[in-house]
Amino acid sequence: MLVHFIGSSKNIATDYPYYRKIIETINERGSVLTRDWIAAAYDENGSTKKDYENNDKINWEEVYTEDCSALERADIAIIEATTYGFQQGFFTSHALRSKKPTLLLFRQDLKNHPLSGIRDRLLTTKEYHTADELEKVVNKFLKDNTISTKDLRFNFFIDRQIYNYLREVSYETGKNKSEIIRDLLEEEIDKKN
Amino acid sequence: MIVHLIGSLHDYETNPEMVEDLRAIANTIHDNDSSLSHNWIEAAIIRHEKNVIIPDWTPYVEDNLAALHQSDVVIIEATPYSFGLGFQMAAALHHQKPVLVVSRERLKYKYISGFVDNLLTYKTYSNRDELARTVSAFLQKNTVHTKDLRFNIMLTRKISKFLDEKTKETGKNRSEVIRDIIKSSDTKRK
Repeated sequence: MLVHFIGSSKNIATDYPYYRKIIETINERGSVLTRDWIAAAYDENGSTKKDYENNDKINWEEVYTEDCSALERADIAIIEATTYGFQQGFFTSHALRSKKPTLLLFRQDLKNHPLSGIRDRLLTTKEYHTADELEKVVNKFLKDNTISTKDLRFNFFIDRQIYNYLREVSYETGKNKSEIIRDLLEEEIDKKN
Repeated sequence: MIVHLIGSLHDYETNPEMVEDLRAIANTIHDNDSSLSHNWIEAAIIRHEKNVIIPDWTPYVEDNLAALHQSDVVIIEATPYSFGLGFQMAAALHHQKPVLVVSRERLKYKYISGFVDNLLTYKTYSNRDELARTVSAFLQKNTVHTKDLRFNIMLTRKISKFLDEKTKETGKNRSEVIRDIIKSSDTKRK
C-alpha cells in the first residue's frame, strides 16, 4: 500500500524519532512511502543535510508540487501534527478532499481544541505519548485500510432486463459481460473525476 | 461582496496585536461595502478573555466551512501559521475562491511560498495602514457585482436550432433554457 506521510521540520530534534517510528512501521507492514522527505532532508541521527539547512535555499514550489503528487498517488495519508503547523492543516484538508483515509497524530490532548471539531468519516485522529503507542496506532490504521493489490471478486444479482442488455451489448461489441460492466463503471469514474 | 476572514487567536496571550490586525481587516472589509460571511472575531475574543471551554468544536468548524463556501473571496491572516489556517486555505482553494494571504512575517522562505495557484495573492505588512491598503486593493480587484451581468454569446446554427426546439418544447425563452442548462451542469458538478 502507498502511504503519504506529512510532518514538520519545526521541532525536528524532538519529532525525528517518532517520524522514524512511523516510517519503520509503514515499511514493516510492506507498505511504502510515496515521498521519503525524511531520508532526503535528514541523516540517520536526525541532523539536517547540508542542502536543507537554509530554508531560503529550498525550492518550495518543487517541494509543494512533489507533496501534491505524492498525495495523489497514495492510498492513505498519515499526518503527524503535534506542532499544529500550517502545512499539516493544509494537507489534512487536501487529503480528505481527495478522499484518502487520513490518520492525524498528536502527542497532546486534543480535548477542547478546535481541531477536535473536524468531522469526516475518512479521518482518524489519535493521541499518543510513546513510540510503542505510536506503532500500535499506525499499525491499526494500516491494517484497517489495507487494500489488496490483487483484483477483487465481486458477485451480484442482475435482473432479466440487465441480463438482456448485457447479452445484446456483448454480441455487438465482442466484449464479455464483465468487461462491459467494468467499462461502464470506469466511465462513471471518469465522469466523476 | 461576501468575504470569509480566516485568522487564529491561538497566540492571543503572546500576540495581542493579532486581535487589532483582525479587527483592522474586518473594518476595511466593511469600508469597502463588503461584509463578513461569519463574524467570529469578537465572540472568539470574549471566549479567550473569559477562558470559556468549548466541549464540542464541531459546530464551530462546520460554521466556518459553511461561511467559507458562501463567500466570494477569502482573506487569511497567516502570521500564526497554524494548522487551522492551512486547513481552511486548502478548503478555499478547493472551492476556487480568490485568496489573499497577509502576514506580518515574511512568507518567502516558508512552505506556503511554494503553493502554485492563480487564485492566491501573498502580501506581508508591517503596519495596519499597509494592511488596510492591501485588503482594499484585493477587494476592489475581485469585486463581483451583485446585479445580473449581461452576457453576449455567438451561437452556431446547430445550437440555435437546438434552442428553438427547446423553447417550443418547454415554453421557456432561449436565455432561460441556457441558464437552466448551466445551472444543471453546476449542480451535477457539485
